[in-house]
Amino acid sequence: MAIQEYKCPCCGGGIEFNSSVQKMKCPYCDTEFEMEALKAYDDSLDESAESTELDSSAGSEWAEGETDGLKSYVCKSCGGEIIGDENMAATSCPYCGNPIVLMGQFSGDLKPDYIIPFKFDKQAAKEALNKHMSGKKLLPKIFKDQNHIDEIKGIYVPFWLFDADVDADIKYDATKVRQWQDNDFRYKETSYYAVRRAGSLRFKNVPADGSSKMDDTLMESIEPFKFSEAVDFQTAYLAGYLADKYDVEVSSVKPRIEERIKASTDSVFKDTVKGYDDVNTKSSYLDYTDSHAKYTLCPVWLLNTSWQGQKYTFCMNGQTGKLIGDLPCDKGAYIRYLLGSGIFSAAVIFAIMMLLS
Amino acid sequence: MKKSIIKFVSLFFALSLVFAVTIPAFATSEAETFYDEYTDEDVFQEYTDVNDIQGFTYEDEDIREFTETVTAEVYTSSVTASPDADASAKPGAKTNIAKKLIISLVIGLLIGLIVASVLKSSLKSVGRQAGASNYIEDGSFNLSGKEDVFLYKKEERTPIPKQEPPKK
Repeated sequence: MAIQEYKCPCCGGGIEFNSSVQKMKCPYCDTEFEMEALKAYDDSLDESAESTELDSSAGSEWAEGETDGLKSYVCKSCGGEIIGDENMAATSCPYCGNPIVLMGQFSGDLKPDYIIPFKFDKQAAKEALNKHMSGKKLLPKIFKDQNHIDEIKGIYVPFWLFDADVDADIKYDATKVRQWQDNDFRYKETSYYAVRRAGSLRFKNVPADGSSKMDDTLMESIEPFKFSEAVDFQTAYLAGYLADKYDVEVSSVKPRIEERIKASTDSVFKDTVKGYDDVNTKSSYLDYTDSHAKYTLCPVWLLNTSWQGQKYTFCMNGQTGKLIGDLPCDKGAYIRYLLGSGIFSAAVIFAIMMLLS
Repeated sequence: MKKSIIKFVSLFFALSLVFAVTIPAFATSEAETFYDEYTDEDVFQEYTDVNDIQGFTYEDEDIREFTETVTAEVYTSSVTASPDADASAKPGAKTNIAKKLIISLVIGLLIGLIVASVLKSSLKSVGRQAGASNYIEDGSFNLSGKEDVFLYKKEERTPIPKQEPPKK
């Protein structure tokens, strides 16, 4: 499999995509390169070219089956051995730090349709994490003070983006209630209605995580991605980041996509049922037409840290800057706030009661 | 935005709880305080003063009997307005303070629990999306069928309990 390193023609250093200038930039001599220029270079690459040797000699000490799923590559710059799993598509050499793209992972049917480039850099991810932790009263102080991030990784995560036209036919049971009274009785009149709504709706670019390594809940938490800023896939964007090819098939994520689309369709149509006191969905028929998925790489910053033996993962949307991640709770502070605010409130209430009496 | 709404709702709930409890408690305490502070002797003295000033010639025994009747009626009518009050005995000031203290502590702890829970929820930011509303194409919604069919109606009548006129 071809290993592609983007070298600076001026100084020979490895160049990488710079999210600030949205161009390839040499970190050594600061020379910038247009993405279009590198696209022509990519097109001219022959996958079977010279230094494509896949080093499959795993060594005699490995047990049978132990190396399944592992692949090793040789860095073209320093000759160091790079080991990754079978889905690894972009990484950097652990010895010389040169960004490396494994071209074969994105060829043929595996080639992504689009890529959303990073707009925020590593420093922005660190700042977003600090902002995320600030003002959290129950966050253990020691966690914040000693929060040394173990690693920060910029990853292009494979996503399936679904388009779908939805034809809906939904039936509801609805009621209207009228109440009045005279001198002798209170009256309650309930009117029952059969309500039906039919129509169509179009969803565009509903995302689903295409990597089994990434937690689906984390990936849904950093949504939305703005597809309007996506560009045609080009391997040069991967330089300087990690990337995996998809290992979750479209058919596997389809049920989740349909579940989300159904929830939103039901909500939109239910909003048109007005003038009733109570509305319940009786039946819902949804037909998906003209649905198809696009294979897209989306930018994600992954920040890992550990505290008291537990691993904490934070994710930042590399396009919008939205950062999420659950934080630990200081039980002592929780009790202090519970009792402190409780006793303070009790004192205030007691004082009010005494004053009023 | 979502967190601000949660905080606002929690604060509103906490304040509602304070008012919901302090106002009835105030009604109870007002009735009891009237009885505690405005004793039979005060009422007797007032009627005696009026008797002297106005030049009436009622005997002290008559005024004493009238005073007892009036204060008993006032206490009964005031205390029965509060469901918590024990109309059979005159509550002491210490009992009132203890009751207020317990009520305050219970509400205070409830408020504390709400505050601590809101702070704890701010530590959580990971969750699955409920739907896909962010991805609905603008202007793509087309409502082609709309039917609202009346089926039937049902009427319920509940008699209003009559209040008996006060006996003269």
